[in-house]
Amino acid sequence: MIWNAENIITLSFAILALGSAIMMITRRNPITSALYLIVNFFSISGVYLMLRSQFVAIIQILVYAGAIMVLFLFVIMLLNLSGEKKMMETFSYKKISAIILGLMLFASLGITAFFAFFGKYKTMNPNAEIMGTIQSVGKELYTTYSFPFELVSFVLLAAIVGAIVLAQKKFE
Amino acid sequence: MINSLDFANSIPLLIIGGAGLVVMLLETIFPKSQKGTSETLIFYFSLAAIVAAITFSFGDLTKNFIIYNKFIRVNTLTSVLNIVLLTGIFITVLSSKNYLQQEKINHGEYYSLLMFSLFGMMLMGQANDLIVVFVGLELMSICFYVLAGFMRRKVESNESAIKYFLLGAFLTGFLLLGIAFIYGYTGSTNYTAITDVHPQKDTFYLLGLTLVFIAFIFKTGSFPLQMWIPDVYQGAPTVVTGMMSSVGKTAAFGALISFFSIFALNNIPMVVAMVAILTMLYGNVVALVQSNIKRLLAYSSIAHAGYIMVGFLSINSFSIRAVLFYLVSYILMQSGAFIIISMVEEKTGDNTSKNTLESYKGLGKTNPMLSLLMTIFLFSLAGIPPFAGFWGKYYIFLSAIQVNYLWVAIIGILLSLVGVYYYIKVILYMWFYEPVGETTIAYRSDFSYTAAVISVIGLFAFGVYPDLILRYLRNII
Repeated sequence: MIWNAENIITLSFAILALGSAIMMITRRNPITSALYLIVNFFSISGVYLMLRSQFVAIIQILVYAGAIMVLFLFVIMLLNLSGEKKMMETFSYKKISAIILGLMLFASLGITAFFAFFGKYKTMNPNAEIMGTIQSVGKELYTTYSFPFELVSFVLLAAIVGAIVLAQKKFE
Repeated sequence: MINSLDFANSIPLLIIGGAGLVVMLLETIFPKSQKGTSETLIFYFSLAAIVAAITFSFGDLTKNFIIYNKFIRVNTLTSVLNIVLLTGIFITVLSSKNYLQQEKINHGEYYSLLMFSLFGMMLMGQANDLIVVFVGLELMSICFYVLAGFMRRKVESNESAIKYFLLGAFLTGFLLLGIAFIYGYTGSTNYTAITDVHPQKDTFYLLGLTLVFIAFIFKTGSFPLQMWIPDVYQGAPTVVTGMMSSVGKTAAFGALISFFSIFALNNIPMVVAMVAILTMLYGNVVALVQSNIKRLLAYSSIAHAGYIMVGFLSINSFSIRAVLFYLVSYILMQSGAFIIISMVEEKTGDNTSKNTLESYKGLGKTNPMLSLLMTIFLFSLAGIPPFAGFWGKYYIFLSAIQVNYLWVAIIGILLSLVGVYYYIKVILYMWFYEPVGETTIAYRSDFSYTAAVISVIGLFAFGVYPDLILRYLRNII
C-alpha cells in the first residue's frame, strides 16, 4: 500500500465508518444509535467519493442520510420507546440468528476483500473510473434512457397527487 | 434518440398522458365556488380524451413499429390491448360521476389518477423493455393504492389502501430483483436485445424469470398470492373496485402475454397448469359461502384469473387470441356487474348491511331494469351461451385442448360449473324472493345506466357474433 494523501484520506473515512458502526450498535439509547448511523452513512459516502463514484456518494447521502434516517428518527420518536428496555429484549433465537447472519455477511465480505488484496482484481477496472461519475450517469439518462426517465416523472407526479389526496387535512 | 415519427406512432399514449395533466389543471382553473362546473367539465373532457385515444388506436391496428429508442412497441396486439383498456376506463369514468357525487368524494384528482393509471397500463402493454414494464406497473399501482383509499372517511377504504400498498410494494421488490437477474444474465433489459441473445438455461436467468412471474401472479391475483384481493376489493369504492378487478387485471395479463412470448415460456406448462387449477379451485369454492356481494365477485374474479391462466399453458397465436377475447368479455361483464352494485348500494349509515346478498332480495320487483342488467352480467360471468362470457371460456379451454392439456380443460369446465351456483344464487335472490325491509333504490343515475347498457350491448353483440372481435385479432403474430 502506498502512503499517499488519497489512501490516507480513504483510510481515515474507513476507520471513521467502522468506529461509528461500532458506536452505533453499542449505544443503549436508540436516538444516539440513529445519530451514529448518520455519521456512518456520511463516512461511507466519503469512501465512495474517494473511489471516484461521485454519483453513488451523493445518492448515499440524499437517500440514506436524508430520507431513510429521518424516517428512522420519526419512527423512534413516535413509538416513544421507554428507555432502553425494549431495545435490549433478549431472545436467544434472535441472538443466534443474528450471529449466523453476521458471520455469513462477514464471510462473503472477507472473501471479496481477500481477492481484492491477493487475487486478480488488484487494480481498478479502467471503465469503473468513468462509470460512477455523474457525467456518465447523466449522459446515459438523457440519451439512451430519456424515455423511461420522462416516464418516472409521471410516477412521481402521481405519488405526489396521491399523497395530497390521502393526507391533506381538509379535502373539499 | 426520439424523433417526430415516434410521436406520430404513439398518439393514444400521448393523449392519455396529456389528458391526466390537463385534468389536474382544469381542477385548479375554476374557483372553489364553481366546483360543480369544473367537475362536469373534467368528466366530459376525460370521456372525450378516451374516445379520441380509442379512435387513434384503431388506426394503429395495422402498424408494426418499435419506437422511442426501442422502448415502446406498436403492433396489432398492443393496439387491441389499448382499445380494450381504454374501453374499460371509458365505462368506469361514465359510471363514476353519480357514485362520486353520492359519496361526496367528487374531486378532479379522481379522474387524473384514473388517467395516470390508464397511462401506466397502456405502457405495460406496449413496453418493449423491462424498465418500461416496471415503470408502467408502478404508475398503475400507485394510482390504484390512492384510488382504493379515496373514501377517506371510511375505515374499510383506508384498510384496503394500506393493505394493497404494503403487499404491492413488497411484490414490487420481487419484480425488480427478477429484472436485475435477467439483466445480469443477458446484459440488457430490452426485449429486442434479449431475443437476439437467445438466452440459454441458466440458474440466475431462470431465477429472474421466476421472480418476474411471481410479481405478475400477485398483480393478476392468481393462487398463491391472491389473499389481498377480497379485502382490497371489499373496502375500495365500488367503482374503483370494478375498475381494478377488470381493467387492472387485464393490463397485468396483457403484459404477461408479451412477457411469455418474448421469453418463450412454453416450457413450464405444469407450473402454469397448477397455478391455473388452484386459482380456479380457490376462487370458485370460497365464493360459495360469501354473503357480501363485493366479496363474492372478488372471489369470482380470482376464479376468472384462473380461467385466463389456462390460456398461458402454451403461448401460440391461438391462445393469445383466446386470452384477448376472454379479456374483452371479462372487462365488460366484471365492470358492468360492479356498476350495478354501485347503483344498488344502500345509502343508509349502517355499514354492516351494505352490499350484503340480502339487499338483493326482491330487487326484481322493486327495480326490474337493474335486475335484468345484473342478471345478464351474472349469466355472462357464469358462461351461459348467448353472451360473450361463454365464447371466452370456450376459446380458452379449446386452446388448452389444442396443446394436449385436455385434463386441465376438463377440470376448468367442472370448476366453472361450481361457479354457476353462486351466480345463480344472486339471480334467484333478485327474482324469486320478496323484498326484505324497506328497499330504497334512491337514485337513478343516467350515466351509470348508460355504462351498464353499453356493456350489455357489447356482451350480447360479441356473444352472438364473436367475429366482431376475432377479425381484429387475426393479424396477431
